[in-house]
Amino acid sequence: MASYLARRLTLAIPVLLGILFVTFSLTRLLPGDPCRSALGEKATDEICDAFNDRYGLNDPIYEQFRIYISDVLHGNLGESLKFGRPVTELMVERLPVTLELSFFAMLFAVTVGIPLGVISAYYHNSSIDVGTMIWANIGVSMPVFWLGLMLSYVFGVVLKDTPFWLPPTGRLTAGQSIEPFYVAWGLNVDGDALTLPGFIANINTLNALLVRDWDGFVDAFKHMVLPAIAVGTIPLSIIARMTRSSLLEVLGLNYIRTARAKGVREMGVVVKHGLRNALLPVVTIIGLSLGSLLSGAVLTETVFGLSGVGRILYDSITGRDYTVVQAFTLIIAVFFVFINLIVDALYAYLDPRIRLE
Amino acid sequence: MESTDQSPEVQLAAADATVISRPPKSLWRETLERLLRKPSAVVGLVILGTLLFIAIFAPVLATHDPLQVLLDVPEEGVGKRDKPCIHLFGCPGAGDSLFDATAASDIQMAALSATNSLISATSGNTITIWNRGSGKKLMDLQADQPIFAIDWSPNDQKILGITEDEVIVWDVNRRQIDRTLENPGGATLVKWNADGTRFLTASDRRVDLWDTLSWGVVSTIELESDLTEVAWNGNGTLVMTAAGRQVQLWNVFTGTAVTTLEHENPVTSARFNRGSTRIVTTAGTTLHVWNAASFAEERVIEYDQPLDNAAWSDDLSRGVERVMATSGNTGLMWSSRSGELLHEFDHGAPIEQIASSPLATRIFTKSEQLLRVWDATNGEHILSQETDGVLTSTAWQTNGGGILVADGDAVNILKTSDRQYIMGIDGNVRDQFSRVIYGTRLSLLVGLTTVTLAVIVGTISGAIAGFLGGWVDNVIMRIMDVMLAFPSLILAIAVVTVLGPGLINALTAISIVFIPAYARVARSGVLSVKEEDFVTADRALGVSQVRILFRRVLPNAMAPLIVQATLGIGTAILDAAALSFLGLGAQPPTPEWGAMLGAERNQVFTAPHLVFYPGIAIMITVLAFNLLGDGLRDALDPRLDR
Repeated sequence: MASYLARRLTLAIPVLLGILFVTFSLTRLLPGDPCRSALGEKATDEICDAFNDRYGLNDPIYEQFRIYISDVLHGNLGESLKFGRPVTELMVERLPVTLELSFFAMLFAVTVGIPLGVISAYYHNSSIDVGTMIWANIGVSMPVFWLGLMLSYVFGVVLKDTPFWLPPTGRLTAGQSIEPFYVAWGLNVDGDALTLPGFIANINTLNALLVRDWDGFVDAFKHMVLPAIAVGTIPLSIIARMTRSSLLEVLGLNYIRTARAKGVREMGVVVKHGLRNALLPVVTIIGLSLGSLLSGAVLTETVFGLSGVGRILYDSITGRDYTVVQAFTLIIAVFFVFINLIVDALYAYLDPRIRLE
Repeated sequence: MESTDQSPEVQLAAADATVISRPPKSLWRETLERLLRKPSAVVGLVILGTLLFIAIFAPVLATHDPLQVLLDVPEEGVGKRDKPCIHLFGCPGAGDSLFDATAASDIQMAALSATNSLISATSGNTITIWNRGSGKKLMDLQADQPIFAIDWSPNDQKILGITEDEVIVWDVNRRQIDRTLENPGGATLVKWNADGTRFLTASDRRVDLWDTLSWGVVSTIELESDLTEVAWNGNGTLVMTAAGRQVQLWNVFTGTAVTTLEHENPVTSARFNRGSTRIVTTAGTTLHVWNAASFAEERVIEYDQPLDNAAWSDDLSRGVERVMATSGNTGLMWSSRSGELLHEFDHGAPIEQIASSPLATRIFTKSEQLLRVWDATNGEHILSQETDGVLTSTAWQTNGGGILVADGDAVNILKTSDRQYIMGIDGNVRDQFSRVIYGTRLSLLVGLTTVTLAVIVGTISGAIAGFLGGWVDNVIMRIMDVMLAFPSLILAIAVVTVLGPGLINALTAISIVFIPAYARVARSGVLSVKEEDFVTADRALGVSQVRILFRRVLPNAMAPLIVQATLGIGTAILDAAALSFLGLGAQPPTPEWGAMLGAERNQVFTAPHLVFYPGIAIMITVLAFNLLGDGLRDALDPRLDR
């Protein structure tokens, strides 16, 4: 297992280098002179020379790349042109929102998708099966942002004044706030030490749980429901389809017949003997869906007024804040690589044959 | 492509395998037949066929040019983000009622608010206010004395009402009297100016000008004979009065006359045109057009009967300038440029009012119990409405979609046009349906071109990698790995950031992002095929590498690629829509579904139809490709068929 992981990790290094290269080229490939696009058309040659010197733009390109890598490894992702703040600071602020959203979306996709797939496979070719698969097909065909908009309209406007109303925008009701857990716990942190606690405190639901603010938790959770459904629908459909086809394959195998012959209860057959063995490809699909989840988050945050990674990416693209685009693209890609690594490891753990390949 | 393992070379190489038993059908026919046995694939094919039909015949199916702003056409009765008609049993046509309400007692005067969103009806001491859109009654405003006249402020916030010796100001938001102003002289008429900073009250021989800062009279105009007309000009700097033989313009700041337009006969009516650049007056049997800047008489039109009720029917942006007047039972319309008589409208009863719709395409004529609507361009009669009671108020809605009609205790809005907009009107007053129809072209085009590009590049690079192996394979596939490390949309966003927004750039970005998927599939297909016997046979025969790759290996590795490509089209359409939604793809006013969604997304709470239809269109298109792709996969690989 350890050697397999080591092998996978080494394989990831060139990919990570490649990602760094892509994000590096991103700002270098931008049309126009970087100095004049930053300082304006009227910047004189002397000023531009000084500017290029300061940002190392006069160095040879491989030297610039080396400096970029060393900066990134030191956690220096540059400074936002628009906010005038280090990008890392923005990340502590924005990343938790996206993580929270992705978590709930995945939770929704898995807890709904797998049972749907199981039911669908068990009642194979029944109307339930056909209905579920039609919905799954529709689910993967919907634009995330459209689903988000329609959900916020239906739950926020049409169902207003009913118990089903859900807040269509924002993270917390106006006026509601949750005390950061480090304050509640009397921890004395500030400055750089605040980074990690600040990051955790920004995950509203988690923070509310930590300080046992139940009202705050319910409020934060309610605000997450619609975005999570919007983002989670595509993975849900994919997971349901995958669970169904994989379970169908397994349910036709001999040991299932043996289990039935032994008199194992139907529930036990399907879940213990069937689902367990059918989950392997589902795990892969879950890992692969994380990509669509992140893309979905980017699109949905702008719809639901959540100030997460997607929102800042959108704002900085429209505002031509390239350092932010570069840094967040990098972070998302690196994050994605590591998720894939974890999925691979999980896969290897679940199916020992893979480790030996 | 024919099934290649029947090629003569193979038979030469394996001379003893002479009998190859194969069904006479070609692979393609077989696949197609299997595909047509899957209901979902058939549904997909049918939808795609329909979409293709829509795309090809878009100009015929669409009711409008997708880029055309309807107000420029001009089409009356359209407004920004108008909702589509979703009535179960047909939509209202010309002559149907758009709004219907009843007041507690007989209405003396009904009025639309300045923005047309509210309707008021005055009866006795009460003003009743309804919401035009929902038809709900909002409030009753009360006064102690009977109300003679009211006027809405230009921002719908206030209503001015005139009673015996007071001017009452109501606040519509707070639903109560804001203030009461003493007006001992009494008045019969009240009018706000265009920006709501001043208003005037008029009685028989006196016009008072009020200021809304001090809420007092700032100047007074005394007239020598009875007033027939009083009006503000467009920017609220001049007041026009018509009394006796004179039409006078007054400076509102000083209360002094700016000019006097003399007539030979008593003036029966006078009107500013919409831009306040001209004035039309009637006196005796003549109609006069005056320039409101130089005060020169520009045109005199003679008629053989006395004229009254002068009015304009003008839309200067289209160069339409017509003047109207009435004479007994007849409504008249002249060109104010040439003075030529354009139309005579035979109303059938003495006309009391003639008025043009805002874009000057229709007019109505009104007598005591009869309302008729006419086409202003060809003079044709459109509809007429007879009432039991006396028509007290009639007015055009500012978008020209209907006429407010009050008779007895009922208030109605009468629709004057049969036009329907089944998907509503977008934020730029364009027909949403036509835009969605034209969007089909773009989406199919986007899906097919991006995937074609990606498939060509991906297949070639993947096939080369798989076929050659070694370091070429390594280099190509590591590049693909890096590209796959980014979530596809994020990478596409990054690429568009470099290339700059635009439809072509978005297409390029999506194609680039899709390359690795096809490269992988092509590579694995090539890897599995290249060890087959017929390839070895070719090699043994000395067939060139290129020929082996393109004529032997690739055709046999095509099946998974075709499936992947079909499924990819759906994803490509989704991604392109997403980029356009973010403002990085198709730029407005291109009728692209994603861009349409993006442009109206902040209006989802008020105009959900503008978001709903493009989204549904995207969904159906993507669904069709997905169904077809799934069907193809099953058909090409029977093992999966269950």
